[in-house]
Parts: sequence; C-alpha cells; structure tokens
Amino acid sequence: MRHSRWHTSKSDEVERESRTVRSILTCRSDTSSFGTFSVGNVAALSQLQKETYTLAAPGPVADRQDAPHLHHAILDPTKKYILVPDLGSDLVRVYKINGTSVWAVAPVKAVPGSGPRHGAFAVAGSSTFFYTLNELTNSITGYTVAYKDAGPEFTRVFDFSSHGPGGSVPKGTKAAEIVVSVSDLLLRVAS
Amino acid sequence: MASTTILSLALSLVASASAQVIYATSYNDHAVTALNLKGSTLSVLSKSYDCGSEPTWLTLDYAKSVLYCLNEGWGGNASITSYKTSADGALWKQNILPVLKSPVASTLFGPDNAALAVAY
Repeated sequence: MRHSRWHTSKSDEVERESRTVRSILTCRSDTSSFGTFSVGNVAALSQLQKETYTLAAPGPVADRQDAPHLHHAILDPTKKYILVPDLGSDLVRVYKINGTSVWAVAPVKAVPGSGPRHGAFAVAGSSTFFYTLNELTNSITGYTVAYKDAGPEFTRVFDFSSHGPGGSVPKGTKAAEIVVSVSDLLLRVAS
Repeated sequence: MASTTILSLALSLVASASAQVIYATSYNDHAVTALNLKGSTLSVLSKSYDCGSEPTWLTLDYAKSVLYCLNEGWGGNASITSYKTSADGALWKQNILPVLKSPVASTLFGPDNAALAVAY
C-alpha cells in the first residue's frame, strides 16, 4: 500500500516536472502576435504591420492555452485572405488582404480546447475546404468555405481523430503537420 | 552561333529536371541545409548559418529564387533572413531583419509576392 502510494506520488512529481518543462517551453515561444513585412526588395526587408493579442482567461487546456499562440500562416486559394491558427485561443484568425496591407475580419471559432496548430486548403471543383490539425486533442477539423461579399464563411463539417474517424493516438502524441496532396486530395498528417 | 545557344539551353533544362533541391532547417546544427534529391538519394549541397540559432521555418519564392528563413530566437534575437538561391544549392544571404521573438511560420502574399506574413 505504502509502496503503491510512493509510486503514485512519484508519478505525480514526474507529471508536475514535465508540466513545468512544458510551460517553460511555452513561455519561450510566446509573443502572441501576427506581423507583416515588405519583401519587395530582398536586400532590405522591413516591417509593415504588427498585431499582438491577449487572452482574458486561459482556455480549457490552461497550461498550453495561457496566452494566444499563433502557429501557422496560410494564404487561401483566392489569395485574398490569410488564415492563422491560434493554438492558445482556439481560433483561426482571418485577415483580408489589400495590396500588401491586411486587416482582421471575423475569426473562425475552433473546438474549445482543441488547439489548432496548422491548416490546409483543398479545392475540389467549385467547392473549397479548409482543415485544421489540432495539437491538444490530436484531431482534424474540416470546414466548408463559402466566399461571401463580407468575407469567407466557414462551416464545420467534421472533427475526428488525427488517426482517422474513431481512431486513437498514443499518450503524449502532439499532432504537428497537415498537408493536402494535390494529386489525389488526400490529407496527410504528422505527429 | 545560334545553334550553340540552343544546345546549352537544352542542356541546362535537362540538368534541372534530373535533380531537385530540398531546403531544410534544424535546431540541432543551427543550419539551413540545401540537399540534392536525385532518385532516392539525398546529398548535402550547402549549409548556411545565417538564420540564427533556431532556424525554424522556410518559405520559398520559387519564381524569384528567394528563400526566407525564420529564426525563432529562443536563446538570442529572433530574425528573418532572406537568401538568393541557385540551382546548384548555393545560398546567398541578402538581408537579416531582427523581429519579435518566436516567429514560427510565414507565407508570401500581395502583388508579386511583395509581402511576408508571420505568425508568432
């Protein structure tokens, strides 16, 4: 009994330690911003815009969602919008492009606690789809995209394991990368 | 003279079709590495250490032969490095711009890919 309790507290300690390590890593990579740069002259790069975000309260996965973590920047197929999955805020931020300027339009709300990390578009005929790979739940969320005058509208059509519907992943897995194969419209995922 | 020109053009096209350059970054050796992919064999063409200590993300403007590298800058300063690329894998540093810490991904946008968007 005592022996097993010792094991429990030891594993709690390991878990606490690993949480500390994770939070140090998180702090290291946290400036919660989106920026744009002029690169027309490759020998003289310069900043254009910068937007920094905050969270009023931590998200459902508090140790990873203590602050906004903007993790990817994706140009949409029309080249009129940039999508930015924000792991800390459970959002996909959307920016409308005008020349080399951008401004934020309504973001896409992700599944709470999912932590969207990377995204990818697929165009099939006249239909456009957007997928996010979610690090905290190891899941893929699929959206249909409808382009309206006010901007693109995203409708969530599925959310399932990054190892496929009904699938499961080994403990400690962190979904990292998603790519759409242009030849066969297959989603490929790396963890 | 004219036939010589045509011949050398044809040769350079064959050369570029038979080999492909892949660019990779690593925190471990702090380098941007240009690799030659020929069939199923990879070999190192060049390495650059001009993208700081944590080179993390590459965006290639293939049409302009320009490569942008983000340095996450955990231990030091974060930055964006621009390179001119060439078919032989050489990387020619053009500029290093200090930026806010922790840039992790970028995409080109705007007319003629004149702007780069960065997520932090």
